[in-house]
Amino acid sequence: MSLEEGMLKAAVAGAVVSLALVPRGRLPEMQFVILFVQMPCWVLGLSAVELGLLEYPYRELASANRTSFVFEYFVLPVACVHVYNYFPWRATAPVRGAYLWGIGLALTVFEAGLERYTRLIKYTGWEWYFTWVSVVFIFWLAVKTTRWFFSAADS
Amino acid sequence: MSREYWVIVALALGAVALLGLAGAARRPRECLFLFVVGQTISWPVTILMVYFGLIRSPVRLFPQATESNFMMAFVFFPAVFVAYYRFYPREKGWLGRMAYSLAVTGAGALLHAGVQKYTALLMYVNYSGFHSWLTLGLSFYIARVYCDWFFARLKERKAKGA
Repeated sequence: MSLEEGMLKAAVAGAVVSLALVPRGRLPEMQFVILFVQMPCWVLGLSAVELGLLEYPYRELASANRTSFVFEYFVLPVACVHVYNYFPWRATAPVRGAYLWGIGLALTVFEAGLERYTRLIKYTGWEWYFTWVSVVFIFWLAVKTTRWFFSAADS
Repeated sequence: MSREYWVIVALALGAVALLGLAGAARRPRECLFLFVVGQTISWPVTILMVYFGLIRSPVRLFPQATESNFMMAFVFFPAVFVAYYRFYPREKGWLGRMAYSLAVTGAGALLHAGVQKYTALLMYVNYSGFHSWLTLGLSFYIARVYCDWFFARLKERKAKGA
């Protein structure tokens, strides 16, 4: 098993196990976040690859898809579940901003490490701060949309 | 513009029309949920079908980034599912509901087969319109049962005042 294969498997396993942290009362939110987040993820991920900014040399379902299936479809949606669950609603706006930008930065640094040391991702025109901005955008969209979805029923 | 691109535009407009018909403006939460459930099934299923060599999409959106038909699987079929679910005839007997499901998924399969026959958007390699009917029927069934369950859970929670 190559390093890349091991890391992809570990990412999926880690994401599955992390769902055990979700409280029982938050299961509907968990489902909504996972189902919803794949939509903006795919659109952004496909666009970045299409524009030649990113490559995923080692990936799942390689012959059918040139983006990272595991990341768009599962790992980032699960990350958003936790971002939503621990979101500091009562905090002031700067703290809430720091929460999203901080987690986004941690993920960005991790991805930059993957770019440097593995064949999971290669920047071919992409910059680390593109990742930072797009991940924070996805987090923000997930938090806002989930809050809206559960705020009231359709009339 | 080639015929393929006109069909892509037509599918996009068809999706918007279906969402409008289904009342997406009046019931945005329900329709958004139905739409993303449809996507979560149909997009990876399509990627897997391409991966296993059942179908191909020679002409497509995002030609560098994917081998699958984005407009059909990520936009159009999810919109069909939204309309299918919103108009599902709950008051009818099992025969009526079954006929409704077979008709809607049959129409979807017919369209899929037509697109593969007359355009280069789709090519059946080891696949047929009949397979498409089965795949759609099964996915819509699973998605409908799941959405029923999810909406019932939400209602239950609301009733408890949580």
